[in-house]
Amino acid sequence: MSEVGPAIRTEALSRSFGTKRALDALELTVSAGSLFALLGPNGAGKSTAIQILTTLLAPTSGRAFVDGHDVVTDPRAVRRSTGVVFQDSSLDDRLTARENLDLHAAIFGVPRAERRTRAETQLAWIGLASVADNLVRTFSGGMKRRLEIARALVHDPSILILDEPTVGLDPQTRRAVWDKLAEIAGGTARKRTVFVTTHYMDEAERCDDVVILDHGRLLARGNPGELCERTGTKRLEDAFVSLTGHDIRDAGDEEAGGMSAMKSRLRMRGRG
Amino acid sequence: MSDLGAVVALTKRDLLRFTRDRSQLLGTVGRPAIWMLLFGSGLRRSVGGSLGAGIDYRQFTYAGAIAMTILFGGMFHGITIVWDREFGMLRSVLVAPISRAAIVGGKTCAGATVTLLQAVVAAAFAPLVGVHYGVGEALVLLLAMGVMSLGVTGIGVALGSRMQTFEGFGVVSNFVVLPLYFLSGGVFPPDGLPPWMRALVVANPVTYGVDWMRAAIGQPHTFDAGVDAVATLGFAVVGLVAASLAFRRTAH
Repeated sequence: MSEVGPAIRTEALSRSFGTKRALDALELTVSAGSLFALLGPNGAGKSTAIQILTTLLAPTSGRAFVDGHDVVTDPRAVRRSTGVVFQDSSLDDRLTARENLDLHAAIFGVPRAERRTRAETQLAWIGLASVADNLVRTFSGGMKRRLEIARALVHDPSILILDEPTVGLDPQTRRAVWDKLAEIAGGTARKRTVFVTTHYMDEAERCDDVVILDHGRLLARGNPGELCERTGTKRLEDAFVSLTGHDIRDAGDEEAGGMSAMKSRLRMRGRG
Repeated sequence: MSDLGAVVALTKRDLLRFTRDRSQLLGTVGRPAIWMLLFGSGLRRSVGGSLGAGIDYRQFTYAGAIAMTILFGGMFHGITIVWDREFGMLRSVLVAPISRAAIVGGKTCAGATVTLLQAVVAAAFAPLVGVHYGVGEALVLLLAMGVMSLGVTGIGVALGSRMQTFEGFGVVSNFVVLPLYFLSGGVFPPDGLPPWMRALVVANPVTYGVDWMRAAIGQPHTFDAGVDAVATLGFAVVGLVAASLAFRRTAH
């Protein structure tokens, strides 16, 4: 692990599921302290990339380094360095906000004496201090998402990885989440890298660096301004169309809604 | 070191969830009440004569009803793994810098604790069904219940790790629980059974748990208490190994 090295780096990273190549020789470099977006339609390979970077999935070939640690040979070091916010909520909704943070702190090895203060600090920062002792099942989607971000920071990781963090949120909450992400990446006291996958153009425009992914392949990289310049377009959305040959909405956006509907049905049943 | 802390934290979490669920608390008292009072008292008259002198059916099935409680409690703790996977919570644990063994350890530890608690509640029905024993006997009974709880919870966690749906878990666990219970010698005496059935009873690890509990409280029993203890301990080890192997395979 070196101080000046990139936060995340991949070398010819590939992953196949049967005959389908979900990721095809992806080369990524994410500089430390940046706000980075992996942009692409659904099915582009973003979630596969996240799963590999969070050590939940092994690559078929190629290598990936997070905070200088190899995701395959040193997963524990990778996990210590990263905070993860998954696309679907991974909170325990039968516990309170504080209990969720405390559990997370404990399994991430935060010393017992520090856990309470860490939780307080994060809850206050994300604006959930007043509901700290309420059960998470009473929270709105936006509150849950904010709590997940707070939780991911409890063990003080140097890299925060978020998979589609604003899917299903209302515009105000989306903006609030992004303000917080910008704050995390731009922090003066503690510089962290924020790695986000998204298919929202306006969100990618707020990032320092963007990589456009389609069908598992890297199509373009650069800051939003460069990408527009290169394609002779004014907005990132037009740059995307020019690079991929299709609109990002073409790929469809139906599974997120279907999934949450299914979960709420299961939840009703599980209560009995 | 951080693994041990994680086991404690994950155990605490499952215990919190259990104590907050009123229906589970109700079931803790209700299930043994049904088996001991309704089932035991109901069958007492019909099978009264065949059990030999000095013991009625309620007393005979006391250990069996505790075993039933342990089987249901331990096995159904496995469903919390299906739950955690379905609602995403498991992922947040899988990205923690702890071993898979610590996650399984926390699950099994919590499950066995909850199960033992339920078994203790069941055992407390003793005076109501005419079973009496002293403090020393109670401690050996507690040990037997604890070891059995570990084994059954291990099997439950193994099953929960392999099942993808709540429905599947429910169906399969009933297929496991009911034969283990009926062939444990806890419902009907093993003597006088057809040979194939008797072979299944002898092969059933729960048989030794039930027999150990009977030996502990001074009831007539089939095997030597030492044999019961070793067999039940072996079952606990098998349960724990099964849990950790099955979970390792499920963890992506």
